[in-house]
Amino acid sequence: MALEFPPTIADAARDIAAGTLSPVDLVELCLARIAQFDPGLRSYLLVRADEARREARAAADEIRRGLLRGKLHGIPIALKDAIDTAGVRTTIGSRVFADRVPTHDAELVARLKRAGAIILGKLECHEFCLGGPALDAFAPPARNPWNIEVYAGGSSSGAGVAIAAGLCLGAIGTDTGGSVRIPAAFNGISGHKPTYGLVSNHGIHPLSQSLDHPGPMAWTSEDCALMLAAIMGADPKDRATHGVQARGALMPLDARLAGLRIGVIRNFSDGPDLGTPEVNASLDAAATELGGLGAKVTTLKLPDLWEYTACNSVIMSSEAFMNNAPWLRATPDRVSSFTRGRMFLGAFLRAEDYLEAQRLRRSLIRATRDAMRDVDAIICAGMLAPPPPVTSMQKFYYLRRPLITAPFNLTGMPALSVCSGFDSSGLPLAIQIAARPLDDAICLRIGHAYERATPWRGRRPSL
Amino acid sequence: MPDSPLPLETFRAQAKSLGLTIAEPELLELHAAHGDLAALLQRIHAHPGAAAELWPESIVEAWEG
Repeated sequence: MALEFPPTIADAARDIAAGTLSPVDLVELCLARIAQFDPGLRSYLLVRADEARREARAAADEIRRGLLRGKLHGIPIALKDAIDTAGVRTTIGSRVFADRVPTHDAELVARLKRAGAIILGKLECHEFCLGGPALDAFAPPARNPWNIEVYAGGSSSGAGVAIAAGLCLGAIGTDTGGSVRIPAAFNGISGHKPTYGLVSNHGIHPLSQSLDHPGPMAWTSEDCALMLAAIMGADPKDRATHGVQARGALMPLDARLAGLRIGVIRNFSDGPDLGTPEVNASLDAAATELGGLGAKVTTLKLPDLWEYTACNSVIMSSEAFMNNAPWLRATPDRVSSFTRGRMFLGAFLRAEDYLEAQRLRRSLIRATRDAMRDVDAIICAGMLAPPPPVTSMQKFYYLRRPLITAPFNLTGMPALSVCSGFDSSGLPLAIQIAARPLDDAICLRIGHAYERATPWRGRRPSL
Repeated sequence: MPDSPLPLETFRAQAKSLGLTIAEPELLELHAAHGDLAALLQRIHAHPGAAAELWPESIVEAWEG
């Protein structure tokens, strides 16, 4: 086999359908790369090598017999270890659940399997999707393949690393304040947080029910769209999905932007103690690029980023403590220091605080909706600064700096992070593309067009 | 870094009443972070108009939504 690096899902699907690529070879390629590179990157907590080989042979056989299920058939995909997999250990990154083996698949896993995807393994995540990067955790943080000394983002860290390093073709993460988009940005990949309720949370460890969003992560926006198309849709086991249906077809993605109106949100990143000059220059360059592709680009102002951040942090802290209180109280010594501190803080919030935050949330949703009256989508910076050294991360940093991914958890809007270049030290930069709820296809279409027009998808980390 | 609105001893007593087991260095760290949290809460409580927002919006939403 000539392949040295996994292709995109779209390319692999095309070759599998044409009979020029076998799922068996694809799985072997990923397993070989995991064996070679993951001891240094630590992105996988568990690899289903034998099972994946067996499933790849079954998929190849099915496809040979003319029973191709779709574009994910035979594609190796890995999952954040907060997503339940029947008969496969699922730890939520914690010693508390080190031996936990669920009896059922999460709804999205069942959908991936029905689409023919091969579940390659379980990926490192911050403990309970919150407590990282903690050096005393059950699973040490996955390492950024662009520079192993810097933070890989989280909490879906393993997913970001595995995609960037070519250790699987697609991954599913979860995002409560940015946990899909932060590792996507720091690893130079694409990560999509769908509209709230578009993808079922059933079978996923809850961090903060009103903010949790599972979402796809891949090398390209097109691949994210392919995975989203397979996992989205109403689920009787998750009431948040009722009545939530994406507008417009996700596939095939239209790469034309003519006539699309895009607002550039500069007030999130341009100001004292906000984005670095390189971050803002990258946002401006992306806006120019999108204008050149035919979109009508204007500047738009949204409420102060701190308002969204404060609201998101208070709601998340309250709900997170409520969800995890039993084991935090009973066995606090079994969780990392980061997890303990961040979770315990939520115990000090009062009902009044939580309810006021939910009320402000509604105000912010209305203000965001009104500001977007004349645009189809908005773009803003992906992160405010490059990833810091992993050993320098402070336990409560997220209370001391505004979080540019938080507005879209709070408002439930779809938001896609795409690579928008590299900074002077060679680390990836990113922008976010967001739209009104249910307009996931617009985000992915803009991301797809942008990735096709820019050279960033041609650059991979040197391992 | 903003101060916690709770004196340390009150904070310690509250942690105990909440059933939290915390070693002293972590308690001090948490008390400091409580000040940061209080600063976020000030933003929320001071927001004009927010108090007029209902959550949930209506009994229909709560019952049938």
